[in-house]
Amino acid sequence: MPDTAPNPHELEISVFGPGFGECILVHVGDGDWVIVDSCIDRKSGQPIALDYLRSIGVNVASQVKLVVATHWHDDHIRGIAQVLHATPGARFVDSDAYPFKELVEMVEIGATSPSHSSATKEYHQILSILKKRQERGQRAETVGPVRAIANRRLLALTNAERALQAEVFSLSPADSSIALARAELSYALDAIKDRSRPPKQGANEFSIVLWLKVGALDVMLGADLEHVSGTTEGWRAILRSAERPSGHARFFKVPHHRSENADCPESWTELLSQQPIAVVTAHSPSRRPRPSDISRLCARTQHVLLTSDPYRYALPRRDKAVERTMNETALSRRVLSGQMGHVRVRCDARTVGENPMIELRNGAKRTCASQ
Amino acid sequence: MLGATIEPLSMKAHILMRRSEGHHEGRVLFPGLKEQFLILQESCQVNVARHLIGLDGVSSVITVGEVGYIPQNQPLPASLPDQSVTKNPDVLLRLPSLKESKWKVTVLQQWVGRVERIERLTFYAVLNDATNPQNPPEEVELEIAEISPSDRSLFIPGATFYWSIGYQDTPGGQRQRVSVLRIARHPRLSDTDVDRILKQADSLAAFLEIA
Repeated sequence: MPDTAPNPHELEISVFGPGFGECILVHVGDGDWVIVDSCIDRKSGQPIALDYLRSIGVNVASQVKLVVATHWHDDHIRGIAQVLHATPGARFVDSDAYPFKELVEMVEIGATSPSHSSATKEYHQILSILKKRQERGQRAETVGPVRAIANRRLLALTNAERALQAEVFSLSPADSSIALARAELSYALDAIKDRSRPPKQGANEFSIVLWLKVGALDVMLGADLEHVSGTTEGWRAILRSAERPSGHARFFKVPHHRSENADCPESWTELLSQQPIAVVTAHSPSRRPRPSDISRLCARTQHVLLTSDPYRYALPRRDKAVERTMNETALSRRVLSGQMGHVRVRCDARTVGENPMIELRNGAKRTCASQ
Repeated sequence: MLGATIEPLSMKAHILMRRSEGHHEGRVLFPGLKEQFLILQESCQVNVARHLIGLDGVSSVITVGEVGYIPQNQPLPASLPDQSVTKNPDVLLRLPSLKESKWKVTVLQQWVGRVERIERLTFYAVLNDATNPQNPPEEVELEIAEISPSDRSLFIPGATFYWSIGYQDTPGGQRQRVSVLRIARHPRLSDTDVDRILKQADSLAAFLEIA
């Protein structure tokens, strides 16, 4: 039986994760979609966002309204330029922590390196796509880049004729992180010019946490935002903000694969409803989430869903001579990703009390003992 | 190079190896021509037929047919009797085309790796399969001894490297299974290039930036 698109009044949150990489799709009502981050499905070689949306009959060219790169880490941005290319009706959003001029300088210099990183390659292509769109006459406001910062409204679909009203806000990065981001960018630019050392990847605290109001429901997507000691950065900055949208989110994409440095206990009481549905993506290189991470999470909510198990990926098959040499040379080996796990939650968003329908595909699973 | 001796001799296989490794002390002339010439300046001529075996490694001697040359500034091998060494003027050698090489390499697998962290004797790296890109990335732990001494200065966390596994067939028909790991070398940009790219980037940023 073919998969179908959600009804106009349904909220859908689809979280994909193969073990290294994540992508989140949100149906914000009336056939409109928001794409957050990107990863590649190794079976098709295509971004999972495009594969999935096309498989349920979505016209990605017109129905995707927003493409968000929460931050420029390899596990969040692979294929995002291809996604943007296929979605000419979408605005592109990235973090305002980095000053745009310096960011473009770093990307353009980095793109001349023979082994530039995935992030540089993707952003270089995105800049080219945005430029072409503006040159073809699309207004800058409809193309982007829209620079996300704390408490900025990124999208408003509030026409009275809609089945669902929808708004998307960014809750981070905090204003106070801009100075740090500028220093980091300066270091990276020097490193790329010099080519004597590789640039470091940007800090997680510059990532974009999203708050989506869809009909009567709220959703919070935590990106990789960390819980730092200061009160003006990270999760505490969101908690202290008087300007953030009101409400308690019923659906939560857990930040940074549930590592301790992203765990902010107050966020569960201040920002989330009781027993929210929490989705965790695996990060195989750091072996996250660990059993202790899951235990901590299950103490907060019984509805914890994991996209894939970071410990169980099969080695690929290769020529026997290659395998022999590899085993002689490498002291240890492990595969960092597997099949594309998929957690899908659908719910009538016209009222708060509806029970959501949860589907777990390709190795995605519930993790709390009582679930 | 007046007074240079011309040696129109075919070279042994290992001189080709040496040339490709860039170890020769001479200077290749007319690199665009099919025939290439190498000047060995003020070299010493040795009788290779009698004395090559037992020399302190052939790396200090370039052989042409039955004659060997020790490039300028290289010490004489201790095993060479003085009477077999002739001080030579500059020598002009004709190098054969590299097509004459009978070495054959069959690459079975290549990865592009990134050094993640370095420990005392080993390092961890993430490998991306360049032969079959649909394969998932793998994390491996390798011995630091696998890194060539000439690459050590480039060996830092974040460095890109290439790992190739394959077969190498020698001119004599012997097959060896080989594993080669090289750290990537990235050419530095000139100040002019940096300025040009920055100007283009600033223009692009100004075009795209929303007020």
